[in-house]
Amino acid sequence: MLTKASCIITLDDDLMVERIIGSATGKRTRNFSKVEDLMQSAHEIDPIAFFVDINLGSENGLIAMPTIRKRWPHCPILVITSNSATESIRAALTAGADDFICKPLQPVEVMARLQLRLEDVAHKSSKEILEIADVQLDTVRRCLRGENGQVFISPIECTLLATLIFAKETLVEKEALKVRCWGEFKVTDNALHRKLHAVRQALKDVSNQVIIQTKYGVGFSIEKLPERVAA
Amino acid sequence: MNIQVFPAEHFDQKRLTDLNKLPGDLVFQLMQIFVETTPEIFSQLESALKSHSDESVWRSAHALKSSCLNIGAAKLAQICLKIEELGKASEMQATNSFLPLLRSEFSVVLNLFQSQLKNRT
Repeated sequence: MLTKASCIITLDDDLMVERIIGSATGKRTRNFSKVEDLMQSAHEIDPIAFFVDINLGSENGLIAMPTIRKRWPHCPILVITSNSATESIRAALTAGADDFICKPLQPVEVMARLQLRLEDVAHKSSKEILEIADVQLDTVRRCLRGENGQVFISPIECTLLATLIFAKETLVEKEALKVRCWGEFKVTDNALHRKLHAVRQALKDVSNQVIIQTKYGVGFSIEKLPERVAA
Repeated sequence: MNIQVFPAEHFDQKRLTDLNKLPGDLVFQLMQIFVETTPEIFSQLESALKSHSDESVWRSAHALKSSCLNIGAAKLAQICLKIEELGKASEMQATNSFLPLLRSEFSVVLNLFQSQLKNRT
């Protein structure tokens, strides 16, 4: 089995940023200067967090946000901005970043902000009960409850559903779901679809309020259905 | 590393002191990256200034400024910031007036870093 090295990913055309972050955090780092380069190597990295420069050469680094979020839905993204102007920070957070940090990077601040974001992820991951609309997923007992009853689901179905609920109605890429559920084992799209079918059925058994949407060829999201108006 | 070799007139000594507190030889690594990468950015900036290409001017000035701020080359960063602001305002005549100052300050910083790296080896 291929072992991927956990590392902090920097997306920046300035190599100094990677060195400063690596030195400040004491963690392994890997730098990419283009989003395409990052995605080409996506299968060989296990990111701890992302630091993305808002000024990525002639591009706006924020264009990378949806791509990163889809591939690694749980990974903290910190945007590096040249100034603390409200507009720039708002743009970063709206685009999907978890936090921002201003240039020049202060080592103490890098460590503090990273620590906060990692603790946030750990806190969310440690939650036993995940919720969306009337549906509750008990990840310890693998029990799914809703207004219409409760069912028990398999470990892989539980991981799959937890990943979708955790992504909060944003799209999770097909490949990302496979990695979450089966790790490095190669599985077919059919295997994923069979599990999705089972999860959809389980959801249907317990609730009328949520649905798993498919974006063909891209990924999946769990969404709340609009409330029905009483006739 | 002795931070006193970087004159306060040109460098942000607090920045260098902070970097120097980190494990490893970070300041040397950053100097090495500066020496290897910024001459090309500097050339792009010089060419853009000569050809009055305002967008290239502010983008190159911005890139050079970021590298300078990272390594604490404060005076050069200030010059770059001024050029970046004037470039964004398309005030190309004013940006050109900074070229001699930019050249001399870049030379001071580059030479000092090169000598530090040479003395180390």
